[in-house]
Amino acid sequence: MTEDASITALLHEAKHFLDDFEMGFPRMARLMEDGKLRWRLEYDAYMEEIKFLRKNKEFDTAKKLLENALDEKKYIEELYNIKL
Amino acid sequence: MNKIFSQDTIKNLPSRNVAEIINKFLNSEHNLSRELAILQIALRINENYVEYSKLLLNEMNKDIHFRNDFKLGVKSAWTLAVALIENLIPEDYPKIKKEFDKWDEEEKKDLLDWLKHHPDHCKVLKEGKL
Repeated sequence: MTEDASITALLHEAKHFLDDFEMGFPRMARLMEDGKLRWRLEYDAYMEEIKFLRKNKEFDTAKKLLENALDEKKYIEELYNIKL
Repeated sequence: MNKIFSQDTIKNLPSRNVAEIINKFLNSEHNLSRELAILQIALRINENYVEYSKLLLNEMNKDIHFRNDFKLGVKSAWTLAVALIENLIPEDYPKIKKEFDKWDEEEKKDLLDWLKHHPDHCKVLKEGKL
């Protein structure tokens, strides 16, 4: 992460760390193999950010992040040719 | 060499021809798309070694692969370097070093740190040989 990253970006990456921990720190390649797993991990991390922003009444930023998450979903669907 | 990527990494991707991979995914705005495009080309490099190795070496210094939109902490430039190390013939290792030498010092340091448990990979990057 960069030094000027937002607190929600930190929450996002922390969620990835906790998920990795729960999964026993899988190989990076394992996380690239499975499009559905990849989306689940991204969705959960984005929701950490969005929940924090909504709680702090930052609705515009939360909306923007939701759009980013949906973009991510679209990219993953196209890449793996799957429906999420 | 203890490889990081294998055919398993791309086993769930649909079969695509290389032209489609290059045109649609290799320089995508989406980091994971770029990374998997790189691997799909690198892992079939023997189909056209001269062309594909040249293509991937040329990608090593394109700005798009250093974009800070990475997920899981890895830039597509890093995936490129690793994919080349794992799939080029040893005679071409100096070409990887030559491209790696053009990277910013910070980028080089970050990749070498990420690869600290892969001494063979680091040696290729630093010395151009194994």
